[in-house]
Amino acid sequence: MTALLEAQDLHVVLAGSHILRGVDVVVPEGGVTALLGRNGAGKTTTLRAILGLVPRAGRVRLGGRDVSRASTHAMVQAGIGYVPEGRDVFAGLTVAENLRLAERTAHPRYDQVYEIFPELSARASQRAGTLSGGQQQMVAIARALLNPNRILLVDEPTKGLAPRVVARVIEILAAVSREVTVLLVEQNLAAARGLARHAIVLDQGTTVYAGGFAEFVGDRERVHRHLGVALAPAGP
Amino acid sequence: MSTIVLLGITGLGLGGLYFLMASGLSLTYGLLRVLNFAHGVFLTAGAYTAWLIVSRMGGTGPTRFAVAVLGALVVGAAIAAAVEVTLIRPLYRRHIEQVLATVGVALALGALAQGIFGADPRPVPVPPWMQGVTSVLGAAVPNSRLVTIAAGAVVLGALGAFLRLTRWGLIVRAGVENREMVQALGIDVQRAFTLVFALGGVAAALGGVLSDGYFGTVDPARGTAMLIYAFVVVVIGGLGSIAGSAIAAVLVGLIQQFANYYGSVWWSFPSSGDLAVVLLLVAVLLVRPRGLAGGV
Repeated sequence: MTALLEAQDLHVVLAGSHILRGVDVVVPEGGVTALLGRNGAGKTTTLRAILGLVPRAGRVRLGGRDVSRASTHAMVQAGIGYVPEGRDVFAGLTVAENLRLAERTAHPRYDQVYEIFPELSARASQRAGTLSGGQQQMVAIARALLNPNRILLVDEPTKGLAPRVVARVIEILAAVSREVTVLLVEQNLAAARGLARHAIVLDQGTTVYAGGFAEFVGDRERVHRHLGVALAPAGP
Repeated sequence: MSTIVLLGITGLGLGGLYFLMASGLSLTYGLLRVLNFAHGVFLTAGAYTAWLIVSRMGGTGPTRFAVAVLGALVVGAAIAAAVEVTLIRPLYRRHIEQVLATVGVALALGALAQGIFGADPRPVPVPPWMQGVTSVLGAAVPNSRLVTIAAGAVVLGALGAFLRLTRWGLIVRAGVENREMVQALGIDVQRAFTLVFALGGVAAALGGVLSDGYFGTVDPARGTAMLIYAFVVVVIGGLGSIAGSAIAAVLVGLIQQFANYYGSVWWSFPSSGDLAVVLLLVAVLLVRPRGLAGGV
């Protein structure tokens, strides 16, 4: 198994709280790796630490190259796309401006983006702040898809969305993951179940499991211990 | 009637100067969350650069004035970029230290200017056409006022075009909303910071040149004195809003002029303009704490 992204012994201290206490993340090339954990386990902070959006200690490698000292924008330029929790669209900018800002190459992939999200083309001149939550999520994902990435870090893409929109987002992520590796933070275990092949589980700022997704969710006692949820049996 | 016209145009001219100063402050705060107390230095630097050039160059024609403006803008941009790179950048996210550092720079460079040029105001040989007057609705309006109004309008239009039509402007507008996310899109936001500082320095330095013509003199305390009003304008207009700063600059300039005049005539209280500006600030903060463009 080739590791595309590796983070070793990540430590993050924010406002005096030791949030990450030696997190290890190994994301194999291809498919979706789910980053799981209870609320406050450190999932979002792990993504932010990988990108250097919070001060951190530890090592980060992308495709075997040490990028620990690279700035956030350099890491993104190197091929790490980011879809943040809460979407973080620029509310005062139009949809078109949000996308234009994300362009990193001379030939951004608007055809592909508008094929996946035709409504964004129709709403190009609308301010992103006036979109629904689902539409904002589409803008956030579209920004990442405009450019060729080696890996996408996607944080809680279904959070706060209506069930119908959740299904659409999962469908899109499944399609995206056929072309690019995805590290997915997802609280909705049922949503992750349809996507992920690998799982990394955090508990209280440390990595407590790394391996196959099916193996993890197959152990109900472990799921309950680390995620605090009782998993419903998988559908047919 | 002519008095009202004269006061109105003079107030607009003063508003133009305030806007040149406030626009950079507002952008700087909006993007970097830096309260730059050294911003007045950029104006002073522009004012003295222009004074040095016009004092040493021969003739009185427009070429000399154009060279003075150009020189002042270059010096303003260079000093502003140097302050950002050497002083502000190492202190990002450390707001108290930034304030202390910029206050220190303002005091140090203000003292340096005083040491080199002396504390007394020095007369500035402005071009003859700028010393003249133009009749507007029966009022003899000094041309220097019209020039500052035009300069303020041009800078407002140029900044608007920069922010709306260029990629760097897009980055700045996005950065004002969410600086972190701009970085997470692969954009080197540090370069945008330096650019915004340099643009602020250019606008302030232009304000310095035009203040030479407006007041007819240059002195080391000019930047500090103007900075106080610029901060008032930025707060009234809404931190980070160029349009808000423009509206607030006009309001402050007009109210100050009218209050100064009628305060002197009616109550023999010539400083009533400053009082009126403070009252305006208090009223806006009570009704719209985030400023005119910032909402309630």
